[in-house]
Amino acid sequence: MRRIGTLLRTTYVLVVFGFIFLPVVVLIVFSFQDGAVSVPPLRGLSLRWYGELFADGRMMAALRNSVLVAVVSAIICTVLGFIAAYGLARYRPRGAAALRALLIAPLGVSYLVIGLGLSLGFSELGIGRSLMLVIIGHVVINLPLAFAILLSQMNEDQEQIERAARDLGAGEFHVITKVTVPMLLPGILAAFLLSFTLSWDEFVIALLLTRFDVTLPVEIWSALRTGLNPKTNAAGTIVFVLSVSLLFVTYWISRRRIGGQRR
Amino acid sequence: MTRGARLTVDDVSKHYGASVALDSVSLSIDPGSYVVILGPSGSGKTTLLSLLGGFTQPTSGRILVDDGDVTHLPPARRPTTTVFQDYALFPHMTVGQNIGFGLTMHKIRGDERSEKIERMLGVVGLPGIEDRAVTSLSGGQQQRVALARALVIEPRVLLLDEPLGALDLKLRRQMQDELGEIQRRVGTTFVHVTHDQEEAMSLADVVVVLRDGRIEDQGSPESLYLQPATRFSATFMGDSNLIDGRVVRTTDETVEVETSLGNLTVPGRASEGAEVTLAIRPEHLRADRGGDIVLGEGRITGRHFIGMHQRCRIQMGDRELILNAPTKPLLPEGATVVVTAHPDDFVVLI
Repeated sequence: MRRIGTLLRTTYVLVVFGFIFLPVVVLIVFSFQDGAVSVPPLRGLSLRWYGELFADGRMMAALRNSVLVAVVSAIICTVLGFIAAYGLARYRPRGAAALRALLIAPLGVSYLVIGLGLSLGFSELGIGRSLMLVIIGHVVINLPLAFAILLSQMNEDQEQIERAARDLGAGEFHVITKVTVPMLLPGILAAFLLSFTLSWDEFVIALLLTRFDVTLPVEIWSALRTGLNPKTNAAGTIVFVLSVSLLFVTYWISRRRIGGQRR
Repeated sequence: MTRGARLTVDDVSKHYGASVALDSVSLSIDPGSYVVILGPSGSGKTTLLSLLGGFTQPTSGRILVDDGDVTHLPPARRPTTTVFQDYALFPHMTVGQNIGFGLTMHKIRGDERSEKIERMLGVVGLPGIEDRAVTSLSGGQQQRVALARALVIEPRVLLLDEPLGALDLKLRRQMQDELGEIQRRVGTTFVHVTHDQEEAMSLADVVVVLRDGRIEDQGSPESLYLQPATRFSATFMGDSNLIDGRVVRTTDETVEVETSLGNLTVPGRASEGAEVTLAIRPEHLRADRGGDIVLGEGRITGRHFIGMHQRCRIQMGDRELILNAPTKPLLPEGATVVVTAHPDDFVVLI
């Protein structure tokens, strides 16, 4: 009986993971397809489609735009998230709980609503759709996460350590630059990398807020409308591989931090 | 090394909303002395230390270091440093960087900085570990690094917040001896907060007993132990037997107190008719007829052998006394003994 139970559980887990990852595996495998058709059967392996992808000016421009949007929005999220978390954790203003809820609230709003709201709001102001608006949109959706990560890293022990720095003669500038930021560096990096990753493969807001300069997910989507082709598989693979690698790095950094004191 | 400073606390109170953490505390601490602030948790001892360090502002009153009023100075500008209970070392720095932090903040750099770090590591007994990561050190070593970090900038007053609280018993007693030695060596005024009365007795020149935000008693360990001023300090600093009674007769030097153990005449002053408490230490009671005052016969209801002495619970009528007797002869449980004492060993608490 126990054996059957174990077998059922294992099968269930395999089916679930298969369901989640099989499409990704198919995408990756057929990005190496030697031929023009991105569906089975696999005719042989080749890097041809990656070559074509890197030769495609529109795709490469979209890739650069995606990196730009992800880097800039992640920096803004991390800086704003740090300032907000530091202020709430250290100065405990009146209504701190309400402020915290307000800062995290955008997590519960759908990307579609945020994208539409920004698009309509800015067109009322006479500001057209552009990468700049995508950056703003990504700050809106990712700031709550960056803030929550940083706030979780700021505890009483660190407050005591900052107090020790002041006691030894440090002014506020030195406390933050020499103690707080270096001490929280793993959390700061985790917040940055997570904001980067989520911006990097975000599609809905990027679609609603761009017009001529688009990001990679939007470009892939337009390419798909003209039909499946292994080149889009190759682009999708690049998006996926970068996202997963960054998530692993983030996980590794935050484990080092949360797992106790750093060596 | 700089000499320690005189520390004066002048009528300081600290209120948190309606609750009173410190109530009109005044204190004068001699330069270069080792003061231990002793009290149970919630007595206000940590609040007092935090006020001295500048981390909290008093509701009223003044704090002076020598003749300078520091009440409204931030911690960075006070001639005090603090050794925090959990050490609060900078986890991202080496031992040397931790100790050198305060020096850098005081614009001491280069060779002078390295020499001071090296010398201070020698003082705390950890020479040559500048390049170790602080997270790789044991609790006792972290404690010493925290001490070195606070002492290296030559404060006039060093504040220690339960500095030995996180160490195991053996290490605590060892560090306790070393703290005293380091204090004598550097000459800084030390203010040390603890709830451990043994720690207080063995380190302090002066013990200040705090209770409910007020100073209950203060003095040298000997005078506090032998002549406690209140019931609280008599029982908080070691054990005491407390015997309630009423003064029935007085002379210039003695009082006669009517108690449930009979009338006892002991040295002390009190007005006739006053309700008083007589305190006597367990080691001052005798289970033989050797004392001048006979408290009566009692039955030994419990006995523990503690090495230096045997600790007996003795039922005397409707009350119980604790008596520490020498280990010889062994007193059998259930036996009836005569309890006596010397009149000088009683303290009259009004």
